Amino acid sequence: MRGRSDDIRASGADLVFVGNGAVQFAKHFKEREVPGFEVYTDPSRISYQALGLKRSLLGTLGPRSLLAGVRATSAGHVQTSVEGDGFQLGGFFAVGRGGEIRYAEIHSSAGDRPNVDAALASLRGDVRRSQ
Amino acid sequence: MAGGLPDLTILDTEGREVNLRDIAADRPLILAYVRHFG
Repeated sequence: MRGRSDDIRASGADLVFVGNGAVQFAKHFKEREVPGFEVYTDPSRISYQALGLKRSLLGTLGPRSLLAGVRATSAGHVQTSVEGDGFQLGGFFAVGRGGEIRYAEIHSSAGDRPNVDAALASLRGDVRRSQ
Repeated sequence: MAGGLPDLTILDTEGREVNLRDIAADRPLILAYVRHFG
């Protein structure tokens, strides 16, 4: 997704990351992985639950996740540690001005990848108004 | 998923409390919930 950050910025939307580790982990993630982007953390994972995001042993250690891990490592993306809940799965949302959720992906596997084009398409009306 | 962002508090990278709804109050967002920070 970081590879699509230019497309997201060009669309007029801001890319924001939320994780679930301690504050210092969020700070390290921002400095190391996504400098220039906003990063937040929800150590309680209450917002993960409110948004319907899953927590799963199979989803994080199952065959799809392992295959995705091999692909990522082959591409040079090496996971060095787990800073947060190792069994938590992610999600991807497009949110209109004012907080309306226009597009949601609830991931079932650590290997799921977001559909950035679909998310941006759902925001077209908001983006036009903000430019 | 219909509806809006939940009225919940999260933390920024300085440990300050931020309401999730406030983050999207005046701009469209792509919000990526990551599995962890590793």
